[in-house]
Amino acid sequence: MTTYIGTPGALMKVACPSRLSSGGGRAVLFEDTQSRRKAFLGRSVLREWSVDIGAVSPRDMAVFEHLADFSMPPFVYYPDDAVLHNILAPAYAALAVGTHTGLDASLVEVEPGLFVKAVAASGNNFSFPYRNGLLDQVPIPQGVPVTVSAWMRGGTVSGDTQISVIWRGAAGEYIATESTRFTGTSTLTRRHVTLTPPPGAASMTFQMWAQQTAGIAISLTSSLMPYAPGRGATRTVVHGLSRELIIAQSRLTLEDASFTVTEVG
Amino acid sequence: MQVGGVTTSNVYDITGRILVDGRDIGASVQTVSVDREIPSGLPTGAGFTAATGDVTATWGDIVDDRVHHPWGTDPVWPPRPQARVEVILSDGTGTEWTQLKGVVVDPSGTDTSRTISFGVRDNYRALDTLVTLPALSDIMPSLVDTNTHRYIYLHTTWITDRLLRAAGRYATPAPSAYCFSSVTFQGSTWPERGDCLTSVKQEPDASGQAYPNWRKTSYGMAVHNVTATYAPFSWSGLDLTFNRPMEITQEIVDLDGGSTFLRVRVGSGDLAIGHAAGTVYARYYPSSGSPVDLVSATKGNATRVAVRYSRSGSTLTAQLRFRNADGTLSTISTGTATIKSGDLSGVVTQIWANGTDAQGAFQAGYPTIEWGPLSSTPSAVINASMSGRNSLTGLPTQVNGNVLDLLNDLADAEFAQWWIDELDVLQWWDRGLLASRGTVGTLTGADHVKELSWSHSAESARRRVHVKYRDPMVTMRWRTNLTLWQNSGDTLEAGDTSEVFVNVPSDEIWLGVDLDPIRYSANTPNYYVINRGIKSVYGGIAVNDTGGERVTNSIIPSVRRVTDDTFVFEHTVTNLQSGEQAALELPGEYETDTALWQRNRGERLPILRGKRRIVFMDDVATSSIRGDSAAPDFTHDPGWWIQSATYAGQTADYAAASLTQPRPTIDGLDVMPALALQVGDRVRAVMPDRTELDITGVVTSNRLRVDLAAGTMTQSIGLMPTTVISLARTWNDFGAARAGETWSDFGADRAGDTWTDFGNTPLG
Repeated sequence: MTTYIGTPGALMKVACPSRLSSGGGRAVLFEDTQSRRKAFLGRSVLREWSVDIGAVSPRDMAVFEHLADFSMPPFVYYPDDAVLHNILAPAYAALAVGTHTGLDASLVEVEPGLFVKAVAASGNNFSFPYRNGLLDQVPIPQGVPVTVSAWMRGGTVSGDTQISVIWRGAAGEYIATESTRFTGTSTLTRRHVTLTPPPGAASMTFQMWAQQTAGIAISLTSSLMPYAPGRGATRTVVHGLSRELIIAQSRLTLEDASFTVTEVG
Repeated sequence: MQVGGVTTSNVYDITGRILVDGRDIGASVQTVSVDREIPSGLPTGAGFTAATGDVTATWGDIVDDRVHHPWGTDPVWPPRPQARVEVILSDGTGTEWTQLKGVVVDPSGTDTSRTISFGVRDNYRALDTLVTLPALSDIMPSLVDTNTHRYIYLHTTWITDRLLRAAGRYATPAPSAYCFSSVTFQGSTWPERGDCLTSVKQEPDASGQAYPNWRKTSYGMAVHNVTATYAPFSWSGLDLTFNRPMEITQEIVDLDGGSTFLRVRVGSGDLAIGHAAGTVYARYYPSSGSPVDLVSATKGNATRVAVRYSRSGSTLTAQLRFRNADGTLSTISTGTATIKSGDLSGVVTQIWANGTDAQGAFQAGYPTIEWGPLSSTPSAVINASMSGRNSLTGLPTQVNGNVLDLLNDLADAEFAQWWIDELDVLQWWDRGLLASRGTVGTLTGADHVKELSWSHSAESARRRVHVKYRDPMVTMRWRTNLTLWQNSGDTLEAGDTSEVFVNVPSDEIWLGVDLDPIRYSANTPNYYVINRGIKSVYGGIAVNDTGGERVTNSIIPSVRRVTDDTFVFEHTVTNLQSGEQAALELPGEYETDTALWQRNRGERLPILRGKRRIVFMDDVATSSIRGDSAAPDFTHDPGWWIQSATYAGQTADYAAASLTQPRPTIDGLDVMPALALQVGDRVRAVMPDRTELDITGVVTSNRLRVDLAAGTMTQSIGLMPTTVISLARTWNDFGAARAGETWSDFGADRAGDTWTDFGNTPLG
């Protein structure tokens, strides 16, 4: 069980189980006219995790105490499932309108029973991820292998498809570009590449070269993992830290700690 | 109705944003409320109401350890009071609509919350300013003694426009800096800048009146069939020489097939704009010879035209440019001509507007900003009614009157409706015009209407309506021989100074007042006019101890105008002979002055004469429409704002139509978001369920409550019904509607109708 928490450029690996206490999503309210029912979409409610570490030694609490009480949020929070399957934020993984420079396409069935959102290239490629009209970054821990995967179709680089990963520093500054080419196919084929971030790389952005791209997933693993929607959160606040001492002896001190991670922004 | 119209949706995604000083600062808006209401245009209704609202919002980083407050360094947040603000809402269908453009009021916050709340209000406070209007009459005396008058006319629209302009609300462009002539023609030919020299109908027509005619335009009114001349406005800082580019800017109005001309005379030779069907010309009239068209262009949908004239040596260049209906400026058309030797070299001496067709507001000047007047955006629109329109015989001078109060008085007098709309444009609608607009949208019971609430109060029913108006009695002269005021005589000693204030009585207007009197003295200059009772006279004689009279130069008189209703005579007596006194009168004895006619002997001085006096008499017009004889009467007292029996009678009948038969009103129609809707729109609400009604009416109020965090909003509109059709179509209803009638009655009623007509209005 691996979780990452911290600020971009200083993501720390901790081991703790978390429980999603609020799944987020959209609130919907209804109003009736004289003969019909109409819906009002509420603002998307953000996610919240309650993290219960169970018995933990005080030394493992240092990072949480510092984050909760003395550091300036927002923090990146990649819970276990995100690390294993997809650290992208839900809106990015869903390739929602405004998160990329491509042309919106519909959901496509990439494997029997698996439907994911697709995007068509604007020209030969599209860049990703965007937020409020500006290029955002996907923060990553230093030195940990990253597997980038996507279903791609229709080569635009001399007939090949290509995943270009742009490594960036903690503040988004450019470091290097690493491109991987795949043979172009006429049907959506899942392509993946496992890369180790170069020194100094703290985040990444992407350029996808294919006529159509669907189901992008980024996992902090050294091999391809089954697809999952976005599970990461890049803007969170850690709060509500509570500790209960279980045992304090010279050879073993344990406490029961829990805190809450709330998404903002 | 704003662009997009009434939207129909099953899923609303309500979002909103605010602009502060015209800039979207990215504030996260939490709640918005906006309330706006227009005057009902009915007696006993409320007057002008400002649109107000409240906004709560946060701004800044998603995580912050401090709050914003007014002592911070941030220039935009929290918004400062009086900052320009625009509230924009969207319903998720892809369009967004401005709900209020105005100013921030009373921002507040606490240090325990990032949320700042502030009020918003439309820009009505600028109307709370002072204005001085001159005393005017529909026929102004000529500036010189001649057998014509200046027929300027005085539609109250002109007063509305004048008041709005005084408060910075412009239906047509504001006069630019270095503008030497500006006339709006909004119901009078009286100028905004410059002096009116002549004004009269150009070609006689069937009406037989010397006034020009008037036409309705998109912004107000235009003059029609006029010839009017103006002297330029000049002051020491305004060089009237044509030594830099001159711009003539004029509104384009619909023509009936005639043409109009607007000429600016510069020394000798005129620079002009000519309007003909479909085309505008930039024209040069040399001092002799044929006029030269420098350039012409097709009007298309243009709403305004400007010609920029410049000269280089003997070459005259004209650049002609339009402002299109969408507010963009057209490309410039250029043409040149050769200036006739000696032409266009002096100063601007006269502006002449004439033609047999309609002519819009114009201004001419040497603007410092190129195409400035052409590109100005209107901040007011006057919707003038052309039939049954109010006009005045005399406008009493208004000295430091409050614009807001005067506009309210005028609107109340005429039952006009006015408000500042969502886009910060002041709307003025003459009575009855809103109710006769075309419908701009349909709300349905299925998709929009949530609840309709009504009330019906007959308590306010009246029997009939009286309108108390002021009937003007006019005395008018070609020459300055109308005695307006005469002193009762006064005796002064050497060294005395006498000041006499002459106040125009409150129910009178004096025009053409002569403030250049003949001085009666030992060297009286003009016995011709004194003897014939022409012109004002001041001065006096010396009288000795035994009553002997002597003409003298020792009485130094002066007169000055304080306002159009206050004048001051001052007499100072210098040295007299021993035992003499100065008497402010004409000599009584023949020997004293043999040149003075007998009829004038002993007349007291000073005498103030003028050319035109209007005396107002109280009068009453009563409605021909009568209600329940047991109900009380209603009296409408508009004062001098109504001066004709005809208009007073129409006003009485207009008021009586609603007062004698109070109709049920729709207090609130709760609807799904219809954000393009504006107050003043005429809309239809088709509700086949529950009420089974098809109501068409004018939106008189709009109330929005938006919770953007929850994504919900409620909207409630007030509707003044203009037509109500029952959608109930059972034979029982038909039977009830036709109870007691025979089929012959029915046949007579519906003669000429088709079965389709019957289907549309089965109970009609």
